[in-house]
Amino acid sequence: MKRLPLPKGLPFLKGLPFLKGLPLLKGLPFLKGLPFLKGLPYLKGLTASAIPWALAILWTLAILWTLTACSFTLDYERYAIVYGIANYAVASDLRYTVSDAQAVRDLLKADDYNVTLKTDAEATRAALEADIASIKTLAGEDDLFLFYFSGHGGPVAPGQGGEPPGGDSADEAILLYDDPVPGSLLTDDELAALIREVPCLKKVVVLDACYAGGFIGNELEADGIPPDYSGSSYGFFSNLGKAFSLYCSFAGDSADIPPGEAIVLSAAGEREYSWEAGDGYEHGVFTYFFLESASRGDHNGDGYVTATEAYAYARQAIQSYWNRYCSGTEGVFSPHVSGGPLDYVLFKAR
Amino acid sequence: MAKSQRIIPFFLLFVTVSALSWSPRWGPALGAGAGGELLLSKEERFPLKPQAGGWLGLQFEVPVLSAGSVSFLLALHRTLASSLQGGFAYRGFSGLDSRLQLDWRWPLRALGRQLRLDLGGGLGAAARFDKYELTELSFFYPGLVLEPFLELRLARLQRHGLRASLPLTLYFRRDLETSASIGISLLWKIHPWAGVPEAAGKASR
Repeated sequence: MKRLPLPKGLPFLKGLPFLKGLPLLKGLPFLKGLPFLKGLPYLKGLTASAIPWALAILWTLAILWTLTACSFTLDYERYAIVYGIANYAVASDLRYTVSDAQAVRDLLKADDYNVTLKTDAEATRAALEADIASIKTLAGEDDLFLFYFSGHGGPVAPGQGGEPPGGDSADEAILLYDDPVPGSLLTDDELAALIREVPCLKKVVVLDACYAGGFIGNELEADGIPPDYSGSSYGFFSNLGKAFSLYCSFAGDSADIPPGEAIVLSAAGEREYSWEAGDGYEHGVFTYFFLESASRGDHNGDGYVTATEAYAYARQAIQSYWNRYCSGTEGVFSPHVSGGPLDYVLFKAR
Repeated sequence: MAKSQRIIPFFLLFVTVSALSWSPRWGPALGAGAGGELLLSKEERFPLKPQAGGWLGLQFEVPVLSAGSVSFLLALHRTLASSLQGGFAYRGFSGLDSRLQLDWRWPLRALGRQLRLDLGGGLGAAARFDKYELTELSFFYPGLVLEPFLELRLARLQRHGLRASLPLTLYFRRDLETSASIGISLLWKIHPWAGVPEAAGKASR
């Protein structure tokens, strides 16, 4: 038996003398005796020893294919409805929500979205229904739909909401401009029903409003970030138990906006406020970093920012720049995101 | 009915103890390994895409009967996000992978003085607890593993073995229509409580 010459660059193998005699490194001759190969005449011309190597090569090529097939072009239409309300008829006014919506419109337009912008008195329920009906006639399955809202949000009808597992017992709503009050509240389930009409398979909802986490309808994922963030997160075993329980009790009839319907990026948790600020921000804090994610959020450097990357960037930035400053006060908050296996491209990285 | 329910655990205990007492000379084994996998994912409304992944793990194996063994593998794994083709990707995730598996071996041949080679197959259950990358969202799902393998025992290092396998795994994810993987793995095994192995005995001078 010949001894295998050891490569010079692998000194650690010198301590493993038995490797020198390994016959498998010489074409795997032992496989020639495999009985099951004898019944396969078409393999006669093929050295049996080549099979494992062929499998290894195929597998390696498949991995390379996965890793390299990243190039694509945005060859589908993208539609966005952007609403921002600062001057409410029925609630306290906000300072930066209209400028949030305008900045998001500018960002999306620069990335070739078809954008419909409505602010203040234009941003009513009837207007939203009409805008969605309009997109319904234009968009196709392959296109992407994005709904952005900046304004008031809150819980409604405590104890009566059809919340998914893990949620509280209340529905959450965003406050549209409508006056009088009835009709101004658009609940999570109502928004889910509205966007369900849009034929696009790729849908993203971005909500910069208080309690917006209540719009997320995860049924299989345990969120490690509590709905009222205080700088802590749930522990490993707590999440494991919850995830196991969710898997076992999955019914597939989620309330709110399920991940299969749209990916929701919420500025805040289900039981906390979202904040806006001057002092260099001049936006909702979440929206400020969401806008910034277009230029800094391309986590894997593939040239595109996905919904999850935009969320991750905004969340990390809020932790680093806002929560650290507000530590110990009620101003601390954390964005949340939908679960589900899919992620969608939002913008080209700038 | 109640009587039979009481008998079942005793019967299982008897089978387990008997199996262990008839176990072969190698004894329990500890292993460390690594592998790569190609995961195929398909959501109901979106096309299938491949995702590359890999794992690093530790295994504990107990022999049963003459040629079988039950193994438990605990591994850390990571699966990369798929390509962005079509404007969407299947998210990447990472987490814990645990597998309980029943293996069976058929000796192929003793290769001279140096080696003994077994062909084997394993059937087992997998459970994964993962977190989507860039999020704090954890999720759980089980799977079914079918693992053909070749196991090599080295005479010069009597207590050591090397196992190469091509595990095929079908995952039962509730949010995906298809989730299945094919992998390649390599596991280094040590039998700390083993006697003198057969291959080494035949290789005596």
